Amino acid sequence: MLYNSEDLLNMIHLTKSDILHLAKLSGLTLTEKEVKELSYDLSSVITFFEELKETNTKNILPTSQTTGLENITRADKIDTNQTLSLEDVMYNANDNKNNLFKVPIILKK
Amino acid sequence: MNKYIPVIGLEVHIELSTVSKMFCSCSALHFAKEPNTQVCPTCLGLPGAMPYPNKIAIKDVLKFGLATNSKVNKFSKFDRKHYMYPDLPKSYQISQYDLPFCINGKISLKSGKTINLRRIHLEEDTAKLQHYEDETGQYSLIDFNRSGVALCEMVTEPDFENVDDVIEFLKEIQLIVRYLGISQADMEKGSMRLEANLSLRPEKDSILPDYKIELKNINSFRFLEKALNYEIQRQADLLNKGVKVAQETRGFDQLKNTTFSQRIKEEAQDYRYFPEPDIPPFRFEDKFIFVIKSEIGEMPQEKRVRFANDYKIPQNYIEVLLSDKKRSEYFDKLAELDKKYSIGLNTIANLMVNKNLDQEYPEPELFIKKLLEITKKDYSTTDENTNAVYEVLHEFPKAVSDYNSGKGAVIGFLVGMVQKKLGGKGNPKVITDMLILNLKSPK
Ligand SMILES: [Zn+2]
Repeated sequence: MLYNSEDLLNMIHLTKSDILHLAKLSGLTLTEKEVKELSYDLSSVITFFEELKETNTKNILPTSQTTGLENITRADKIDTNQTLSLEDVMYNANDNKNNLFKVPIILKK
Repeated sequence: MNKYIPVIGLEVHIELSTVSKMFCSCSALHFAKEPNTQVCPTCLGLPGAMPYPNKIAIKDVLKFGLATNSKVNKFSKFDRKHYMYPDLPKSYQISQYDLPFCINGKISLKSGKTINLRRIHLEEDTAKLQHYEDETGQYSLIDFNRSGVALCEMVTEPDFENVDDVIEFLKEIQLIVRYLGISQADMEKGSMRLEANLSLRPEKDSILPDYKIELKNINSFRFLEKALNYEIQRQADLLNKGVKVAQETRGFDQLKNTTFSQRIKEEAQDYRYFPEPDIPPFRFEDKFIFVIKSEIGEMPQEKRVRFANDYKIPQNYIEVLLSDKKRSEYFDKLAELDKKYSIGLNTIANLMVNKNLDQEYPEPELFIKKLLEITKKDYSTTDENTNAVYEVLHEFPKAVSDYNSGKGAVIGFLVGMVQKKLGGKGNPKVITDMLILNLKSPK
């Protein structure tokens, strides 16, 4: 992606530590080069979203829903038809032991 | 040496005993089940799976809130709490952020002190991780049977100033939950989990400290008590040396009775909460809340007061009986039956508390029958009773005629006279019945 000088002036700048923080939250390991590229790319994406600030939301209530539905619940019943077979459960697992997913150690003592 | 006052707040997780999980129809009974046999795309966190909230779990949380004098948020919703951990494959937990189901509850302690409950919310439990090391190296194993089970979290204000209050409070919460029947609240099985945050403030200073230590993964009241006492001493020692207490999470070492740093990096927690788009919000009508409230039976504190007032048995007996709802109900039945037999509630409570006699007799009627047999040998025999009653009725004709002309109170005098002849060994109930029978149809 190429930027002209004006873009760069108006752009929000994500610092290297912002990028590393986001990478950590996402469980990603980044190279120096990727950090650099991502700080440009993500900065430009966020700058693009800045345009939303121009929208007049004065009389608009915040919402997280668009359906207008409320109080959607189900009865407390077991439906074994939903239950997956062990074969299906483990289908994409990299490794398993005694039908448990096996992953690299998480808590180091 | 400065004196310090502990500032303690609690987080309690309660796994609800609903039949199915929170957002899917898998069985929620995960204890000692074959691993990964009770899972579906939703609780495995597979892309595209939709959460569908369990109505009973929501009602249970509202019930818990109302039983702890909380306010129900009439408009509420679920939110996504993001973090990366293998026990949470979709990288977020469905929880509640700014609009938990219940807020501002209150629990009174025996001392009269009030503990404020900041919030009670509902979320989904995570998968269970086990950590191993063998010749292949170190690894973790994951079982998703627990993933998605309804989990209720209660957070208190940092209102506790001593460890005894913490333990009293937690035992009361456990009791309330069990009385409501919304969870077994069994700490060994993990259906009740405790976390405490603790710091110290100088006695003469009322400002809150600028740090707090979180104590996590503690699975009994006794260990929590020990961990808190150890931490209070550790922090006081550091503060007295002028050392700043490092903010961190600590666990409890059951063998050494000490706490240890869990060295979880305290990088600012950034959960990036946002409203769960896949679950429409909740709006609770007053009537709905009223109905739930009316389903709450007698709570432990109410029972405590009633037992003290109506049964007049010692406080320590009351606490033992109360600690098991079924047992307290059993005692209620015995008290009702005893109106007829006058064995005495102290005797009955004593036999339950100290001899566990109720464990041998599932039926209260049989318990009483047994008790009458035990106590019988102390009473006079039927023959002795018959003779004494016969004699008294002939020695006091005036009292007999008074009774027959309607002066019922004279029966007390006659019972007293019979008891005198029996050396006080008569069963008052038996003698009274025998007197009345003979007065009505004099021989
Ligand atoms: Zn499921």
